[in-house]
Amino acid sequence: MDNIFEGIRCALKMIVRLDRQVISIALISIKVSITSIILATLLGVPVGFYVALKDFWGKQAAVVILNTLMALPTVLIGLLVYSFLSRQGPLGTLGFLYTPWAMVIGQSILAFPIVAGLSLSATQGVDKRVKKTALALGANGRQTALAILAEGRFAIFAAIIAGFGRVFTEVGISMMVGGNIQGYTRNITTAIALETGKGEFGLGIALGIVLLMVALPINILFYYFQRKKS
Amino acid sequence: MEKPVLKVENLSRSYKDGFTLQIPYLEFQEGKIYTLFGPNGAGKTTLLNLLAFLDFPEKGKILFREKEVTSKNSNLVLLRKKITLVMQDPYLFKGSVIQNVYYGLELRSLKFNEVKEKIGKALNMLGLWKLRNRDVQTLSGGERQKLALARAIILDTEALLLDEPTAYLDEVYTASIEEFISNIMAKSSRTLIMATHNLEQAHRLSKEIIFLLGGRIQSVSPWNAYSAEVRGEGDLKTAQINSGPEIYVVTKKSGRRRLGIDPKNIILSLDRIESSALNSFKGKVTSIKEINDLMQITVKRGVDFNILITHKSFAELKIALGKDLYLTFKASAVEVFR
Repeated sequence: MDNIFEGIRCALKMIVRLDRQVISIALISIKVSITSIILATLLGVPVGFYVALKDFWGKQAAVVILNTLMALPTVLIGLLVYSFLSRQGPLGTLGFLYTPWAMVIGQSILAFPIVAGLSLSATQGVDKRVKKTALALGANGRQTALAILAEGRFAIFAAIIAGFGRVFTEVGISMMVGGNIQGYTRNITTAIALETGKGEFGLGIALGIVLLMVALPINILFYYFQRKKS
Repeated sequence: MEKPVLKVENLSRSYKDGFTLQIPYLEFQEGKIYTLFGPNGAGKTTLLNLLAFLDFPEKGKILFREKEVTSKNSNLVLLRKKITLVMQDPYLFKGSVIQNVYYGLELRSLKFNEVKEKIGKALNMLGLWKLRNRDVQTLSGGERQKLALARAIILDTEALLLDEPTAYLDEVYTASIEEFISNIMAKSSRTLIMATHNLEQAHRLSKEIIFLLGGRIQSVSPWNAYSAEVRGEGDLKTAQINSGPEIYVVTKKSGRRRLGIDPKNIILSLDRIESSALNSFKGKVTSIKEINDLMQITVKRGVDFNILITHKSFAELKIALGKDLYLTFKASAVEVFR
């Protein structure tokens, strides 16, 4: 138990002193995860919206696939991205492996089905009268789509926040395609795994607290949007 | 010369549940108020959706200002801006009262400052000005209906379509909405087409009543509507129907009035019935028709009385053209309109 209390004491000291190593690792996590969620949002929200509103051949299959992909294990995504970005892989010439970009690609793949799937549910949950009301008041196709998005905005924000929560706390992808390089691709989760392995509980716990400090407002936001939605 | 704003020709629209709306011809003139009257499921909402270009017929045509409108019209959005529909249970966008009223104007590229006064005027007319910054979620049913009406009326469209605007409202809200509709139409050249299942309301608001039943327009109104002179003191009065019999009615109104009798409230018999019903007289059968599982019998006594009866009653009474039958109905079964 002593080493755990010692770890907590050391962690609090590092946080209070704004330890450079802790800050650097936290910033990498934040930068990579924000970039990933932006990409996943740009792709996932329109896909979810389209699948929800359009009738097309294979729609049911698309919904089932999206829902299945929401449960994709991070190591499987890590393996997939690794095989594409490794030197022998089809995208090996890009030189992305063991860079933050590789982590961004992997995390975007992880977040995409979450954002798309939850956006789909959010759009389906929007009152059917919104479309008719917008059209009756003179809206064109784009304006009608925007009206539907606007009415479902809280649920869509909740989808984005759920995606961010998932990528911010994942470890498999970052470890496999980021390489856990200090000051470059070492993020909170990979650093915790490493420091725990080394028996350095202080840094591990400090990073864990930082992780929770970021996760807490995210969850508060999530809760807020969920309440707004209902 | 009268100009039709909307016209329907040989229209047919079917739905998966088997319902089909079939209208051979119908036109709506500029500046007039029309009511589509019929029970639930008669096709009123279907017709309004077609007239608002939100749905399209499988067969036949809808014409706006004599030009056919189809789903493939390149200027469909522009045409939709000339007509607006207020749904029976209107949807209000999340936000404030004023944001909702501004929505349609914004779609027409009008800046808020340009239309501020107009919005204020519309909200004032409907008594919504003091609620302008309120979240729409906090409005009552009547206030929501008024807001939906304000949001549509402010657009000054050539035709305004209202689907049962007072269906869920109490008498006070109904009266204020009817008054607003009458006032706005008195000063306007736009066309109003309103669906209602309340015949009294249809008579109060318009002279042009279109009867819909089972997706078809009824050339002869299944309702019996007459002009009459109502006389007498107290609530029980007599009404002399133009070219028809004198009947008893229960009303506070008197003078020249429109009367309505539900065809299901008239009893047909071979002999006079001794009952509490004050109205009983003889007439001659002039027409027999089948309407939606019922038989419509027209009996002439100066004017035509339409009566709906079951096939069983029809067979038992052995009704045939030219036969004499007694009509019996209560004084309270007669609606006295404006």
